[in-house]
Amino acid sequence: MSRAPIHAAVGAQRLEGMYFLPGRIELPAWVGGSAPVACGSSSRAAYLFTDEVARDYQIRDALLHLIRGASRKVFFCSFLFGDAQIVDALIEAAERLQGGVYVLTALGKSLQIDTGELDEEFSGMPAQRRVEQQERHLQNLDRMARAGVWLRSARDCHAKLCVVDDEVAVVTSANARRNAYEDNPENGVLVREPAVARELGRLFAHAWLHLTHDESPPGAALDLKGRGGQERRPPAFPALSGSGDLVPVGTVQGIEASIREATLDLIENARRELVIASYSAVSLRDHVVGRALRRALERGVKALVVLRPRNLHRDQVDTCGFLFAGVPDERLVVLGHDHTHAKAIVADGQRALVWTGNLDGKAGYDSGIEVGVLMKDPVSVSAARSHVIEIARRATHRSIIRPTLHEIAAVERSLAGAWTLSLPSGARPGATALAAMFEREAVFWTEIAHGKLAIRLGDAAEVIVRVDEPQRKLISERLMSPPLPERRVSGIMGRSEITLVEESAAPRTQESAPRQRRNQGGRR
Amino acid sequence: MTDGTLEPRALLRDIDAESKSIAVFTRRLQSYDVDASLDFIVEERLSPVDRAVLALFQAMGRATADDIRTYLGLGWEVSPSVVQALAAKSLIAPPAQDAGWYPPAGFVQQQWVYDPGLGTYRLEQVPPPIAARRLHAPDRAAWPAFVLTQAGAAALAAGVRRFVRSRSTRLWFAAEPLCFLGTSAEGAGYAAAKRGKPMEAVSVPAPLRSIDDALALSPNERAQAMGLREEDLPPAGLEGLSRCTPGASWEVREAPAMRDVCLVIAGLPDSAAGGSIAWQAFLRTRRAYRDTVTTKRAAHLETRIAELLGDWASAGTAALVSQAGLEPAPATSLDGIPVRAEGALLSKLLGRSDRPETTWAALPVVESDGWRSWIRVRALPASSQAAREALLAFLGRRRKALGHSFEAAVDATWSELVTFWGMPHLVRPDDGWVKRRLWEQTEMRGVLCAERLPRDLVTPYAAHAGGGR
Repeated sequence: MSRAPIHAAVGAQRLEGMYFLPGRIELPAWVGGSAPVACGSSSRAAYLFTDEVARDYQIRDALLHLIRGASRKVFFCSFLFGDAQIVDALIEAAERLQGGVYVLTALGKSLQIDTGELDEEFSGMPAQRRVEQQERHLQNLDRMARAGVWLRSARDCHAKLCVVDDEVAVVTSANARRNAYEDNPENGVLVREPAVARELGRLFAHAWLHLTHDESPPGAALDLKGRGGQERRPPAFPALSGSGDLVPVGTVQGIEASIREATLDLIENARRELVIASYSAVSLRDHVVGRALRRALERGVKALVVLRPRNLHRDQVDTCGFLFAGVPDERLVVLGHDHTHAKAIVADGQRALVWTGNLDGKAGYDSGIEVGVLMKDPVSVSAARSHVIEIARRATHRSIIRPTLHEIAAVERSLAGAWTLSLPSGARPGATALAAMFEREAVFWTEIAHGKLAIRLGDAAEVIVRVDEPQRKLISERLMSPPLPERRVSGIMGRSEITLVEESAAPRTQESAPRQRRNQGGRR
Repeated sequence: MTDGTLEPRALLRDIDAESKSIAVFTRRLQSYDVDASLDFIVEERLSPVDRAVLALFQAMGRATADDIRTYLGLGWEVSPSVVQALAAKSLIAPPAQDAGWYPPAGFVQQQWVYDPGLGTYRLEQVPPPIAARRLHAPDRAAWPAFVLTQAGAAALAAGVRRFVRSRSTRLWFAAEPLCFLGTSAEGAGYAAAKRGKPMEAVSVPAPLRSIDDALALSPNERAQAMGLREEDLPPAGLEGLSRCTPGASWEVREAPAMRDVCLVIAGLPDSAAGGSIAWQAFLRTRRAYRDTVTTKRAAHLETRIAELLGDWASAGTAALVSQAGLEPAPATSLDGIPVRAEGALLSKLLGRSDRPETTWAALPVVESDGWRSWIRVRALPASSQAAREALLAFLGRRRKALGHSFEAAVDATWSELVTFWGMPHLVRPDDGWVKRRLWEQTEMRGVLCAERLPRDLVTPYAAHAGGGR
């Protein structure tokens, strides 16, 4: 015999954190008028960017120019290789130089390793396109390996770097993919200062020699081989050095953290404004960079931030909430751009950091491998600032703090309408408690199998349900309170009416059933 | 026998002739098992009793069992038995059956003595050797008397008795040419039951049809005829071989596939005449079931080389090089026959190891005679370009050394090549040319990349190495 059904109206509750809604806003006056974006170039450095509108592909052009002009060696670091022109140029260089082309990339298993941003990009793709990307990447690696390019992969290597002859270098946000060079807002720095290029080359050489775990030897088909001796402690890596208006910085698996130091220096010493572009902002609530940024905003520093809008990425939602909630609109503009991948922090229009990482407290500041360049020359800094502002002008999303559930559901993949959630008899928490959670908590769901969802009710509970679409029924298979560690979210519960029905026939408590079975097995 | 074992290196390795030979001819020989009854001269050491009794016969000239009892103290039970046994072995005989010497009764003044100069026994006057005394009183009964036979006298002198024993034996032969290969022990149980029928007489190769004549030859003649050299080291089981047992027949079967044999004729440079070759013959036998290969000299065939090899026997090195389709080069003091080559042929003729070496070049196979043949050549470059190409080929085999020190590896390889060729005047190509040409070989790119890695990734940043934090 069923108990009386209980109804829950979902959608009106407020979500904690910062989200993005489609739309644009006028940039505040302190950002300044519309300055033309130009390649800021000095004798020592040049700011580079991809302008997808003007079809200005400076990053790839600069890379091709460097590689084709190499007279001794080429170091290239990119997680993926999907751009035929870059691949051809590297192959041509290997042939011309008879070797001397060294690449850090994702080989074999590395493709599956969670590398944060790239994995996000990868997993966000349709499966077919992801497979195609991987196949193209592997085909390109095979071509390069046969031609004599020496490929290795290092764990958590996220840097995008090209160093030629220890004379010139490019540090860029762009992976070697066609859409990175042509479609996405990306940026980078062309380093013409040999001392700086050499330091970047040193970082590459250290990573390539001592921090790699797999390789595909040159002059043969792509053939993943583990490198022995990786348990040995790598030799010391003397800190990157530089002075004046162009300083190389990096993160090298816990032994070099000058990107973090440079970031803190920029943020903590900012007096007027911070102009920031990053793919993401995550895991900064308990990180020095996050705390420094929050303090800067609290002391009145104005900020323009452009991020990739990712409403279903709970970490980013939470981090942005921590960073930006409560800051008056006249001092803070946070915008989203569907394709942005640029990475820069410009402080007071006087100093700029262009680097390959993100505002990520988990990877890139204290671990992993990243590179960057801290610039002080006015031309390059101005170019960097103008470019980030231009990305902001082309933003696709505006930010919103504490929106309602249905506001976000309206722009994301959602589950809405009337649904009946059938629960087994005696389930804990019971229907009444669950109904309250549905009305109070942030309700997200993850597709864990075909026709099967994990519906997460904030940090209170998680229900694994089978979806009977024609009957508009969600049949509970398992109920957990508190829930398992957070899953990657697939969608959000939209405005809906949930009818919770407790079935009388279910003999067992979902939560304790597995444990009981194990115990019985043990007694036997 | 697989073809691989018929390669010249394998053929010559066991006989320590590889480094000296410059030509080798080989062909398989059909071999046969010959089951025959053979006579062997057997020696048996005389027992002390027999020696004492024979000595008594020698001393007394003629004696009876009672004399043995009387003078040697043997009892009534033993003495007649001893006499009977010696008579059965023909060491003593009744006086009428032996044309020997019959002295008067009593101790004698003369004795059979072996004369090494004559190689036989002669009668010699000697003083009575002993002062005999009776141990028992003589019996008055009439015992049959015996005298020492010549065989008995010889046995007494040598301490051993020689006699002929017939035994069935299986001999292993090659027929054409006739070569004794050994004895075969596969005669028992299942193997014996599975044996085929003997060959029909008409099918038996001619040399084996008269094998009884050949076996009956003196040891020296037998060695000449079939290579059975008893005087050096009698083959196991054939000690004392004398002949086929008169009147006995023999059976011939083809030897099982588990045993095979090939004739190897190795040519060595003849120091007496430039370009001519001295030949040595060997028999290489394999017993698969024992996993043994034996190679031994077949000196008896070396007088028949011309018959076996035909025109090849008198061909000089130049003719052989021509037959191999190679270009002769001027003679050098280095071993191997010098030939000139270039390109891939030069690399091939320099061998497959990581150092240049003389190699065996095959001569055309003539199916009708069954010979396979090779000459050992020292390949010299036909041009400086050929020498450079050979350098590249050998560097391709020394990837590890190249990766360790490119310049040293090229130096060492070039040095070995010009030394091998005896051409120290050749100029070593520069490293740039070598690298450019090696890069064209995709499989060498890894080596070249490894070689430059320290220059690209280590040395430029070495100044920072000591400054870790």
